[in-house]
Amino acid sequence: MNNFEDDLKKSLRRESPPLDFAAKVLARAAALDQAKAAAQKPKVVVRPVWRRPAAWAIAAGITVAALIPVGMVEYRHRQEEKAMEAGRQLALALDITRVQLQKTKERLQKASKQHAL
Amino acid sequence: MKKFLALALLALPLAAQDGFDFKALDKLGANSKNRTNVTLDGDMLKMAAGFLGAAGNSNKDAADVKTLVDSLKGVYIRSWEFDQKGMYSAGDLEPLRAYLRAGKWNRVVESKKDDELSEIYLLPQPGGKLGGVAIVSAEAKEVTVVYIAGSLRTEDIAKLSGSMGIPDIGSQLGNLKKGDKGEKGDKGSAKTKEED
Repeated sequence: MNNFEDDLKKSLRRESPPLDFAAKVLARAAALDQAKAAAQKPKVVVRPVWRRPAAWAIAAGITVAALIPVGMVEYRHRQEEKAMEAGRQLALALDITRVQLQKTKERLQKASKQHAL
Repeated sequence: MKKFLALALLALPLAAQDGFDFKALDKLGANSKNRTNVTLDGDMLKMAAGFLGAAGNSNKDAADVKTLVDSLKGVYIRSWEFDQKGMYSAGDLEPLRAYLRAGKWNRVVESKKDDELSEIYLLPQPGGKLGGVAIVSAEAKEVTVVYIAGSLRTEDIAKLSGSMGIPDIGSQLGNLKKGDKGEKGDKGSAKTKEED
């Protein structure tokens, strides 16, 4: 019976923690916090420039901005050429009209002269 | 009902066609040596008028032509030259003459002697204005048709017949030379000169 009591007392007796116990607990807690924070932090993926949509959008914008003046100059040039060709045709048409009206006039004058004779 | 539909279908091309269809004169040029076609309507006519009114054309004649052209709807010229006499049939002009006779056109001039024929038709409009002028001129070796549609005044016809300095305008339009005739052959707005 005494032995049993001795064993129980021995088992339940208060023991002091090792000297570095508190330091170890604090260190473990800090390590756990760091691991948790690392798990929550999003991964930053660095893509090359040619795989970024924004880069493509900017490049497209610059290209369009550069092409607009070129297109406008070309369009204006073509319109001027068309207008010049239309002007030439108009001059030709008016010239032919003038010639035909004069011919008709001459024929009428000739006819009236012959009629008078 | 079927008859009505058939009539409606037949009438559709006539309704869609504004003015004379110059394809009807194609037969005339079958044996021609030289051919000159000018078709100016819609945008081409506006462009031509705009070009005349462009900066640098301060000439009064150019301004007169611009005023005249602004009120026109279309200018159509068909001219054929032949090597010899008898290479075209006067009957080939009949579609145009029939069109002019059938419409409200008035033949104001007719001159016929030997192989030469000149006719001038005017389309009268209310208010003393004209809706167009058509000239049919046939010689032994040359046939010319001029058809100008649009609002005109009788003074404009007089201007067209000579007082208007057409050669000056030609020089302003890039030294138009006679040799320029028939440079291009674009559809609808072309003048062509073909050696057949």
